[in-house]
Amino acid sequence: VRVLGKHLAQACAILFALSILLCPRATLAQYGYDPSNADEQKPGIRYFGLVKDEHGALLPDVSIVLEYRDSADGPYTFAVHLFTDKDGRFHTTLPLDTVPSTVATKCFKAGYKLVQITKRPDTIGPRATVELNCVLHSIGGTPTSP
Amino acid sequence: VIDRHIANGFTSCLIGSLLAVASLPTSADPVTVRSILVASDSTSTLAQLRSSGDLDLQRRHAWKVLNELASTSVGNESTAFESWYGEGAVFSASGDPNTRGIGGFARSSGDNGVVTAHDRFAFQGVPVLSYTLYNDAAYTHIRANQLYKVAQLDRLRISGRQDEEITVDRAIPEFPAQAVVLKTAWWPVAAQRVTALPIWDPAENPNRRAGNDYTTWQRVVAIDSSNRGSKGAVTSIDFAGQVYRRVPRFGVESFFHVEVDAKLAKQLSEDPEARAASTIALGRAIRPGDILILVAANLATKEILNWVWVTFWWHDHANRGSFAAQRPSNLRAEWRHYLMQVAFDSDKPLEPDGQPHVCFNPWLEGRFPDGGHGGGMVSNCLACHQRASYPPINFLPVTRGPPDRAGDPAYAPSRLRTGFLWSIALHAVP
Repeated sequence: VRVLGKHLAQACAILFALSILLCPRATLAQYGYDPSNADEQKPGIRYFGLVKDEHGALLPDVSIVLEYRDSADGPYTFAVHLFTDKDGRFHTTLPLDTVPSTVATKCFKAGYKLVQITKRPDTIGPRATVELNCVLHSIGGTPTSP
Repeated sequence: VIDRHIANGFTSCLIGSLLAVASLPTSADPVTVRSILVASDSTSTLAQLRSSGDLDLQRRHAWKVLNELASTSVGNESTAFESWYGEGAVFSASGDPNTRGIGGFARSSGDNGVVTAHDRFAFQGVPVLSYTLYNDAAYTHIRANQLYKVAQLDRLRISGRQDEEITVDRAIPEFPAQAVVLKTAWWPVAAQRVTALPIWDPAENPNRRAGNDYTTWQRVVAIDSSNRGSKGAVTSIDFAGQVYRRVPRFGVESFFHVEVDAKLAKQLSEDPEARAASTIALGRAIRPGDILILVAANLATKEILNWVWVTFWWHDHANRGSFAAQRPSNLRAEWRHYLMQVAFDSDKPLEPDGQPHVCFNPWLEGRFPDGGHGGGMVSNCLACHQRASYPPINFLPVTRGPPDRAGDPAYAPSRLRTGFLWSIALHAVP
């Protein structure tokens, strides 16, 4: 029983380590997070994610638009325009009082069409996050006149 | 939070950022400058037009000014503003006054403290590739009076002349009547690919609380950089995540345009806002061989005390509607594709609903969010620019009509009025 228990404990440890490694929220959730950046420490809801093409390659220079109100019934509405970096990732922070379900999102790049967009809010824990991932497929461009 | 967003919007609105210029132009200046617009209407006539609010006559004058702006001279195919000074030459401690027009695009990302420099990857609102040009008279006035320096503005705030309108404030020296400032907005067109260009149609774009930026417009046309895009040809094209079918195709000859060389491509790729705008249009940075087409501009001429404010933008059906009214037939071909609005006053003539006069550019102001008095689509050039003052203050939210002298911090005592130009307040250098 002692040996079995030891093996069980080892298996649990391995499973735990794997879950840490494989869970994107635990590893890559804070894409580009830089704790030395004062802006990163401001309270807010962190939006982050990545964009891939039809081959699974990460796409740079994709527009990400987040449109939100300053509060649930506030008079102001804002649109934040971001771009994926050279690694196809982005992150930004919206005010704490924005409601993720009411934040409208867009994801586009010239010469591509949007195939999938997923939004996963996580309000558990000290920092609320919303993971936003997109898949775009190339549709080519129209050549100039011959 | 609102203040932060408003402040972040600064850089995308109005005039100016910086680079360098050490000296005023001299007689040895090798660049040919045709910088003074010759308007045939006298100052008193224009002042009368302002007080009467006669929009038809105001529009006739504005077209005259635009015609002059677009004209070329014998032996010189360049338009006047191609030789005007750019932001970089105006607001800088040192620099090269010989870099002119959009071809000399140069500005640093710095501002004088109020405006938060854009993160390379994040913008409040949608970026526009804009660049402001100053004619000889405007440039010389700013440089000779050192209005590009924060220290000088601080001095004038204490010892400058009393402002004639806002008597509790000081004012910079009055600009000469020949001064003209032009804020241009450009759209990149790919060298080897047809590029979508969004089109603003007033009937199809009702006011949105977040602003009506160009990614929200309902229609696009296709622009062919080969210059062989015959008018009327149709194609399919994508823009901002949507595919548009059977859209008309236009060649770049339908626009005022410039070809991007290696130097300009480098300058644009290093500018956060230009880089962002080109990423939206092309999905990449601008490259040598691409074309910049002029899609919109705001023009201010100091023909009257509060300046005459003219705004124009490109449209594929530019002969229709009230924005085409009174256009003269002798405009050069590409310039006949632009629609126009004009403001002599922040209030008059009143709109049909009794509200203050509206004069905005869909590219430059349409994107402003509704801050309580309406968004950019009910804004007025002068209603905004009459607030221009130092120390810098948020120019948003949109305000309408005459100045709110009691409640608006832009009219607080002991401020320096900056001659209706936000660029002086925002982009003066230490």
